[in-house]
Amino acid sequence: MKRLLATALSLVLALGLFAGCRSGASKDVTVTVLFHGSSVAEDKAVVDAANARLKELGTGVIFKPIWGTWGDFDTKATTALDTSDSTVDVMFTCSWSSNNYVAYSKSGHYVRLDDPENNLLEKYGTGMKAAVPQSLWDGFSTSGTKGVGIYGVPGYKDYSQVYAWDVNNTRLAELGIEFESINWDLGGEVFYTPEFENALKAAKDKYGPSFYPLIFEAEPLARHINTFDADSIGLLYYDYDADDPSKPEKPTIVARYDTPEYERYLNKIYEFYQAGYIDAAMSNSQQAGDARTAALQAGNYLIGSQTYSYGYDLQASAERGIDARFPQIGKGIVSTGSVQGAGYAISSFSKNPDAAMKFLNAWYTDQTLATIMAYGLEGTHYTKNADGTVTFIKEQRENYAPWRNGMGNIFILPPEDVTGPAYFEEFKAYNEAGVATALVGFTFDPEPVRNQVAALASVRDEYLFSLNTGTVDPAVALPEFRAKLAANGLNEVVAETNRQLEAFFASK
Amino acid sequence: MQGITKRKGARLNSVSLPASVAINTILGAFALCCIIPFIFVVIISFTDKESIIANGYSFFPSAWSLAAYDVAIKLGRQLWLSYFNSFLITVIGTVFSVLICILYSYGLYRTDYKYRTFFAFFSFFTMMFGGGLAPTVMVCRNLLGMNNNYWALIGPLLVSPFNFIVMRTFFKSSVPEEIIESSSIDGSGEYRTLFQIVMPIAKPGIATIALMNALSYWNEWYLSLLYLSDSKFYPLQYLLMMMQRNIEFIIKNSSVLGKDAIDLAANMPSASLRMALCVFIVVPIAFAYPFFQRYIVAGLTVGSVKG
Repeated sequence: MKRLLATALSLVLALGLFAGCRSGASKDVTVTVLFHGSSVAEDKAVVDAANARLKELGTGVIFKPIWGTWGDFDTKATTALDTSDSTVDVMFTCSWSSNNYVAYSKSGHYVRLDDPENNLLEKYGTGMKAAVPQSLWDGFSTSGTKGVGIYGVPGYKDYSQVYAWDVNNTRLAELGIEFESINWDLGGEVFYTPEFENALKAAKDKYGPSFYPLIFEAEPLARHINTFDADSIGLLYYDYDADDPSKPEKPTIVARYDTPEYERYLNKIYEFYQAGYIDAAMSNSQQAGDARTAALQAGNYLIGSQTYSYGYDLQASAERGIDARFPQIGKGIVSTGSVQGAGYAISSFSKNPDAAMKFLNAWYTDQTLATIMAYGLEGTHYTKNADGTVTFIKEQRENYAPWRNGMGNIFILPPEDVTGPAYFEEFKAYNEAGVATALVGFTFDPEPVRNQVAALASVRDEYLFSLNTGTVDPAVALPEFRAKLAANGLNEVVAETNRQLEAFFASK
Repeated sequence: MQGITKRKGARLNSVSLPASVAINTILGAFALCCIIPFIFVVIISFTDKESIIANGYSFFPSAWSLAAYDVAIKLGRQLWLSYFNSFLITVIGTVFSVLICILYSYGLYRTDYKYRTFFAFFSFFTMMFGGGLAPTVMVCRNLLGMNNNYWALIGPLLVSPFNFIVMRTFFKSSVPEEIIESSSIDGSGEYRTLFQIVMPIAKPGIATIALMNALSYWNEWYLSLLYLSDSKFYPLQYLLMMMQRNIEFIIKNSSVLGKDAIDLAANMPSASLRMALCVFIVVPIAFAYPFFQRYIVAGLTVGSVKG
């Protein structure tokens, strides 16, 4: 027993010594940042340049990245948080990743930035506070362990979300169909018009059996029928007014797949599938992504669907070598999901939250630093043009390509050549045109019905692709699907969501 | 096998012809089930990208192509580095894990070892109760220093209580205690007894454990996900896994990522590239089988005490 005690004591001593050495070694503090969705193979030169800039700015911070990828970010982030890892100071967070902003603020894993006792935002983040619009800060206000406040810095990117049709106008013209002859102003309803159907038919007749005019992912097209997600697994929705998404002010949430609108959509899509307008690969979750991307990139489609982002017309047209048009479906919407689409939080286990905040502030406000981190080095990864835009050097860019929309404040970056010099100005106007729904700030907390949600998600996955792409007969599969959802506790989830929603409105 | 050609009942222990045919058919079919998916993987890896898009996966693709291997080779430094890492952790890991397994289970096997029941329970206990992911990671990372180094990939798999039990049972059934006794009478020390007398007899068991350990080291990717953030330590399996997970993620979340997803998906490796990497992964370890198999088959016929 004595020996054991001695060993334990010496271990503690040794660890203490080690920790002591580390903090004493350098005056500058290292801030480790975990990013999402990066594709970075070689970063030494970029990190060195970023650190040189941080030194120039006098922040006293050394930046060290961990390049999380799409596939491993969730595990990396939640493991770091759940194991009180003090080696990660700042991490990407949002409404759709596993280290969910609202949930982990509630469990105390993120530092409250506007904590009245230690207001980091006021101390080091005034520049950043001004750089990011107030509406985003409002959307990031959440109830955490230290009361209602800001637990993360919103990513300043597109926060108004627009759904759009993706029309290959080159092919439409080849068919002799005027773009305007289809009434795109109808939004989602255009799907049911004879003109829409005739265009698909004409394309199928002209380009032969291996051409599939209608192309989309299973999810967004179902959204195009004027529904709006209220949860992360797409089970629930509330019906908003396409002309004024902020109405109704106190909506209730219903189960999406129980609605007559959904049935109507399925009947139509089944008809389209039977007519050969949809590729069978779209119903296979393993192939759908590859097949869709390939068809879009090659221009082998007539009409598709897209979550639109400003400037995509130009980019898509250039990439695909066609005249791609994106008629919007309804107004731009600002929702909790779109506001909390990206952000950065300081981990509660970070030993240097002050330095982390200093770093974030510099990154969000200094154009040079932000450009180095998002684009790389001038001359190596990109070249600068006379009009202020940048052109990427493809071979090098492939080795250093962080996900731009996840790179903090993207509005201080120089625009790319394909989108033109005024891109970000126009982008801002477009963002501001979005209308906030009544649900902004509300996030469904699945914890009380977590078993049901998990069961429902697997039922949904079983049916989603085949039903939504019309490969199975809705007359048979839909009742089956609905029965399974009901059997797995859909009603409890709907009731719980509405209870939470009421509480949300009451607290407002 | 010879039972088929000889007349029924001609050989001792041979089965009847119909039984032999039935057994061979069943085992043959089973072997086919195992090998066909891999052949399919190889075919896909040589399939032209356009052909996959047009016709989907097929055993008889309309066009062949070496493009996937070309791209894989062009992954360049990372590919070879990952290959090297995989080999390194497999070789070092297997050698040490087998050594630890032999030493531990030999102790458990020796009836004259005083604390054997305690240590048997000590290892067995960890099979029944685990600490869960978070505490395990905390101990490994913070106390044992498994953070961005090869140690993080080798350490966690070094000790396997299940293998201890298998190995101890193997010692018990193939190494008679009389041999230990006679060795010590002849003046052999403990080390000589273990390494020069017991181990040669136990070769088949050791080969089995070595094969299992080599496989688990070669196929390991989850440890990389937990403990690594620097790509210079990534093993090959993790490289492949990451591609796969990236693609799955983007497909699943395409509605959230919107236009980003399209851009990203366009830069993702194609199905044939993934299959090519799969071939890269499978081929070396497949060559390990025949090597180990020699010992495993020999184990069926080896004996120690004669008469």
